[in-house]
Amino acid sequence: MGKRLEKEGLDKFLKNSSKGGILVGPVITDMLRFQEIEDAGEICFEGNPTFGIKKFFVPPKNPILKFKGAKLLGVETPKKTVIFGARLCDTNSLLKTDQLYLNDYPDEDYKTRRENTVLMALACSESCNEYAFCKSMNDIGHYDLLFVDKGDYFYVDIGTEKGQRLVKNLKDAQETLPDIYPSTRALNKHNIRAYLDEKHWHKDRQNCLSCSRCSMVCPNCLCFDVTDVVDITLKNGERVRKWDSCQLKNFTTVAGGHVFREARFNRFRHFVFHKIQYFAEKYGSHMCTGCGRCIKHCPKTIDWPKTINELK
Amino acid sequence: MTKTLETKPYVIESKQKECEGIYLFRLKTPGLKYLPGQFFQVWAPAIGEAPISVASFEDDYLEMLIRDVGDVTKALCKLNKGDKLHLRGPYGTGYPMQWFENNQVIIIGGGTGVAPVRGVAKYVQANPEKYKGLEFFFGFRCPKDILMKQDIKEWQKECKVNLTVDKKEKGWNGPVGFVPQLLEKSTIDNKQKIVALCGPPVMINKCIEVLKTKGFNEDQLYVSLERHMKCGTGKCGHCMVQEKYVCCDGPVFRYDKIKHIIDE
Repeated sequence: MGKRLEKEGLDKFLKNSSKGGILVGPVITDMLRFQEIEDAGEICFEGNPTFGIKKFFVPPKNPILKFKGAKLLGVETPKKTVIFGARLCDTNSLLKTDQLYLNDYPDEDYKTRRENTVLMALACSESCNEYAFCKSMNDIGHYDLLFVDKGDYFYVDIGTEKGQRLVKNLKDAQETLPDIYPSTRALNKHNIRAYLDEKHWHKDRQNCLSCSRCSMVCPNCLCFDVTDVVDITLKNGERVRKWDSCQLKNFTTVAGGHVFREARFNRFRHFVFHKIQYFAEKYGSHMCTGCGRCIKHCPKTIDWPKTINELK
Repeated sequence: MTKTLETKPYVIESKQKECEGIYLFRLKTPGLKYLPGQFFQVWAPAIGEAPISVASFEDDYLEMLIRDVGDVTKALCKLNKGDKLHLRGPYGTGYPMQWFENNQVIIIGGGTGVAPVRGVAKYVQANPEKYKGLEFFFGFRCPKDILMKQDIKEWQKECKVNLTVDKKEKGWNGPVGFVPQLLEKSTIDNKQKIVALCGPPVMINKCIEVLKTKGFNEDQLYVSLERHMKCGTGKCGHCMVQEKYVCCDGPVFRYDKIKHIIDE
């Protein structure tokens, strides 16, 4: 059974839940973004931030170890974090990130961040942008707690034991969980293996500028580069993982200068197929939660799900 | 710190200049197990890591061929005997040497692509009773670029080594041309043979075309793909070729398993 939290009680609830750690929520600064907040009054309940919550699990520049000369040292463990107000597209994307980071060669840094974070998702009452297709992605809804806006109060659904522990003092709700996805358009093909050929993508192919915006705003895009960043001694420093994008030409450059995915179309195709085909072949779910950010923020508004829907 | 990020230092036992800018490092690696075709992430402290493939097969020793082509490899090539190389790995699948048993192993390599297949040859030499010998097809840009000269001399005593160069130079009496042309002229058939290929993509594709006309089946061909793996653990995405991660699913693939993606 779900719980009921009066809206005026939200601030106290979030402060109690995030004791000893930090509280993160969507706020309007220069734009809508997730960042550390002090008070629930700062939270913006409308819209979906340009950049999702992936930055708290795989930061854009993430030091994974330190070195002193040739000696390797660990880095500090991230603090306990409560993330409030992430939409289901963002929280669901973590299930996919888990597949990549926790299966073969599990990554300690990511694992700690996941364990130290409480996910308090916020259900969408309507589609946040016209390009979203989240409802059709068949994700079960991954969260510790889910908040559904009911006017004066929130209906709080419990997703995990971690969430259960936080709401044990709240009153029981008198209703059941409503449909947690807003109505959106649908992606109607979930297997596109047969459409690798360039001819199916003619229009999108011509439009793509390979600017890599799509992969930066995508909550699922996880590709990174690894570099050693040194301090003034030139001997000590950190090994840093930085977000990278398969849309950039140098992404597949090898020693000697050969570029394997040189044609812009090949890079665009890799983006779409990695999301809708390759990842699903390996892990059983798409590397896409249908948030529509890649289309909304594309300078040419390349609507690749529409192209997929029209494939014959 | 994540265990898979840890590197271990190994002492350089010797360093041999193979040709301009290419060195063969021999490391003392007690207890380290690896297979030909696998690779290690080699760290140049404060510069970065580079994936380098194994070029040997020997207990307690490891050899690597390093070309000074980028920041990391330039730093590595400055190291000398007695210095240390920092490795993490091995990563990748390697050549399935057990499956090659009872076959003659045909080794095809071009340029620095001879490094991974050299390990295959060394494995066969270490277990001669299990295989029906070796035959080599190697191609290099010009005679002064020929790598593994010492090994080639050794191999020539026991088996056929077909050597070609792209450009003729004074003093070269051997064939001139590319490896596929060399293959075309040879009389090899597909009877009890396994082929291990490594080299530039164009060479691999052309060689496979020729081998098919000679009756080879696709499952007799094993290809080692080159990509710049940044993590080695199937995460960073740099080595993806369609759905395959070259670092984990490869770098060695049976050709029929990847023929649909090789031209990506």
